[in-house]
Amino acid sequence: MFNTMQIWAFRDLLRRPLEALLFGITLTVAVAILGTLLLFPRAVHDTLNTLLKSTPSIILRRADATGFSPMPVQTSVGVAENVVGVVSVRPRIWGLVNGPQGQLTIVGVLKDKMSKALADQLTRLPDPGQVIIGFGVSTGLSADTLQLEGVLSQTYQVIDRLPEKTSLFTHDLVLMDPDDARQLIGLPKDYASDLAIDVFHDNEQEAILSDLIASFPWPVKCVTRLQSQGLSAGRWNRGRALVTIAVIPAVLALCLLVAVNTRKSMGRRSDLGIMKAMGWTTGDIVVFQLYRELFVCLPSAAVGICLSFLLVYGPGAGWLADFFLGWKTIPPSLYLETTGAATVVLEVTALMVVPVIASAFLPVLKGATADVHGMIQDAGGR
Amino acid sequence: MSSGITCHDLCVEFPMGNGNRRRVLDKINARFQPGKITLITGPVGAGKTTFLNTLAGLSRPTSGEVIVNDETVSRWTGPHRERWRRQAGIVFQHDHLLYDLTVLENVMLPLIPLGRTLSTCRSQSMEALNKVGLLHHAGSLASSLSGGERQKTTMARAIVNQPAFIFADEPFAHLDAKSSRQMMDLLYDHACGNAVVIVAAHGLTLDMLPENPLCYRLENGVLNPLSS
Repeated sequence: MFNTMQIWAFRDLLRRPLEALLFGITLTVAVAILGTLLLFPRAVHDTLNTLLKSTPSIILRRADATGFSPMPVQTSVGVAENVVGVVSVRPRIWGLVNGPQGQLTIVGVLKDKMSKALADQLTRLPDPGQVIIGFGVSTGLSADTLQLEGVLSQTYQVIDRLPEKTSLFTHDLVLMDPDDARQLIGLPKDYASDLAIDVFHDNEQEAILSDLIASFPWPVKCVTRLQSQGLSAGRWNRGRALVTIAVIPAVLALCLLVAVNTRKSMGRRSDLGIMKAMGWTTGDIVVFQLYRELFVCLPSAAVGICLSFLLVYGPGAGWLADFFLGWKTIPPSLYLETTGAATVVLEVTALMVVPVIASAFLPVLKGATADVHGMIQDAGGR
Repeated sequence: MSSGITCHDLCVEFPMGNGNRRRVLDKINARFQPGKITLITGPVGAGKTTFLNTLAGLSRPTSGEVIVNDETVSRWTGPHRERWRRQAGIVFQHDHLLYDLTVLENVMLPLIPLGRTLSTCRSQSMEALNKVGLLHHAGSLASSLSGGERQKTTMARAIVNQPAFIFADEPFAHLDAKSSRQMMDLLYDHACGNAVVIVAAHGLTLDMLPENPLCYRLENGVLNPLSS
């Protein structure tokens, strides 16, 4: 399984086992910290982007002097559907109410007017008196019921939970029968909170806005998907700035590791001289050093990256979201695209593992052209 | 078939620090044949170690040439000399062992880059240790050995690869008369196997001399043959 040189390299590590172990642990921790700092923003970015892709092209709300007001479903849908470029219009019933542990967003599920993304996540629809709750919704003492307080106070039966992977958007969501939702938020019958409008192509989102606004007999306000993406990115900038600051100590730790490894390797110059005198070529020593470093760096990097994945995606990793984004409740679940994961692994390897391995080659490179006798004489000076 | 080592007008100079240079070896011309032990004696500081290091390719001469098997080794670049050194066994004046390795592992050191299996390396090294009488110390750390035992370990390390050239610098310095005789016999056996064996020693007694040696005296940087 292993050749003689690999076994020898491993044996060489065991000459100072404690030193190798400490170095490995330090590298593991440094990789875990840096990996987490690189992985977290990418995970949030990927999750946001994926979820935003399934949101409506335009959200249209009726505006009045106090802010927003309900809109009549039949009239509003009819007006919006007549605008050229609009593919579909869905009225939405939603609002904010109080749950057992803070504010929750309730959504009335209209059977024929559901978004495809939401329909794909649901195995059944809530009947009157029933709710389906998001991953971060706490039901309080009872696991099967949820008490909500809006215009009135009502207890509902919890029949399902939304999938964890959608939790960045459905974190505090409560899906319920549309009439239940209207009652809870005080919305008149046949009225909706806003309209979700889809257009044929993303480029048309901005183009039809003026026509859309002009066609309504009352003032409306529209938000496009592209604007939502911009808003999300803006909100995330604070978190990203914090992450960037946190990278600095990780990079300093890397510099220290490289410096320690270089110094340690230079201390082995006389050993390398003896090896060369015994017939080892510079190539042999490079291979030997490479194996030696890989025996420490590969497991350390692998464990460190696994740790960072656990910290970002694993259960109980709420401190990270709390620290960077201020999410106080059960943290939303993040997910990562394959290319994103590969990029992070490559970044960590390039930032951490390559410099550490390279630092071990300094004495080899210096010794490549040096007199072997001079290298061995360093032993006397040590 | 080895045709030996020849040195031609070999000079080595060292800077003295005050801008001057000290010539340690002065235009040495000699030929060292396989099948015989060559003994080089001389007072302390005569340049015996420098001479052996230059012959073994551990350092470069200031001028002149070292020719091995009709190839001018002293002109070769580092990588070529490194590869050539695989044919050489070196016994250093100071043992230069890796003290946190075992005696067996120290002896295995020249065999590792040759691509042999670990068990082959191990058995060859055990054989070499047996020849120097240190088999019982195979598993001991090199740091736990006495000065004489360390010297025997370096001897085992030098002969483990059955080299065509052996350069031994004061190989008997820490050995008693009996052990010195044993080591000389070992070197003689290798010389009889058509190896070039060059031994530098400043205090050799007659009873230690092998059969029909070639003897030189190095003094003031000049190498002169001694009549037996």
